[in-house]
Amino acid sequence: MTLVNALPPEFDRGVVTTVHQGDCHVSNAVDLTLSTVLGSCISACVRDTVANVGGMNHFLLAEQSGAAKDRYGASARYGAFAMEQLINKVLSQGSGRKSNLEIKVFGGGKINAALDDVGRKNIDFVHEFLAAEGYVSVSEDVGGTYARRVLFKPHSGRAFVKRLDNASGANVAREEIALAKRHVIIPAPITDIELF
Amino acid sequence: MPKASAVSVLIVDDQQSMRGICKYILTQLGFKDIIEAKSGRDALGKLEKSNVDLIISDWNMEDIDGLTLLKVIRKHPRTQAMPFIMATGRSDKEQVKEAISFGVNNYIIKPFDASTMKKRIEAVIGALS
Repeated sequence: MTLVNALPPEFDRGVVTTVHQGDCHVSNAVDLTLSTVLGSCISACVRDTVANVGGMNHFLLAEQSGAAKDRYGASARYGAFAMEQLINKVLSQGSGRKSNLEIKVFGGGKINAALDDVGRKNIDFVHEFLAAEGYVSVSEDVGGTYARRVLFKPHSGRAFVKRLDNASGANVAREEIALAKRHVIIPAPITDIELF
Repeated sequence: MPKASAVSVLIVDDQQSMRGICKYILTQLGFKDIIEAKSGRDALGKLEKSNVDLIISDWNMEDIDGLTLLKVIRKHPRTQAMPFIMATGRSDKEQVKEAISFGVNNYIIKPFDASTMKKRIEAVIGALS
């Protein structure tokens, strides 16, 4: 069965933009679908329910620890920035009111049984972040032992999740970990603006 | 050469996580007198009551954003020369230019680490001892 055939009949994908690891896309386009594939990674889908503006991020905290001493460690900081970036983009293109935001969370699978449960740590991180900022996710599909494809319509807020088979999941997990290890956390300054 | 432990820093951000990160990094750099404000309005209240040597403010905030806060601070005689660093996202080049035109002393792009924060602070208030 193809992915298109697996969709509910009323779910019109329209223009599809893929959200890769480290990306953050926000739009109010009616015909746009944001698409991503998640192994242990997390994607948050944030939507301004008044302005009909929504977005999706995609991140992995490869070495995140729930220990209090690491609460603001490099990996957790990266996740917090990823969440803040998405929320701020939606707010700035939307109504600007946090109370109008609706949040959905996906991912955090335990894809490789031999490895630490990176997915669980990522789920814990995003739950802690949302609680600290006073948000509640309206729906989630997290954990489990499989990868997922997530489609999200930023204008309407509709989300569709397809659970992938084990072979696909193993490939996804390998790519995620490799990318997370290569990820440059600290950005360079804006090159054409010099201060002092 | 200012001593980090003697410098009072006001962190302004409406996200608790971001204030926590900023405070964690400042503590790593030796700062001890760290005041938190959860909004631009809260920051103005804290500035009335406290002696602050440096402001590190987020741009995007719900009530008074970072740029409006900067403009208010630059207009008031008591705070107009106060060092001000704006924290901003990577894609906000135009915002940075706008903040410079209103007298921001420096900017820091998220996500940042202790080393980057130290460089930005030292560029504004001088090398830390």
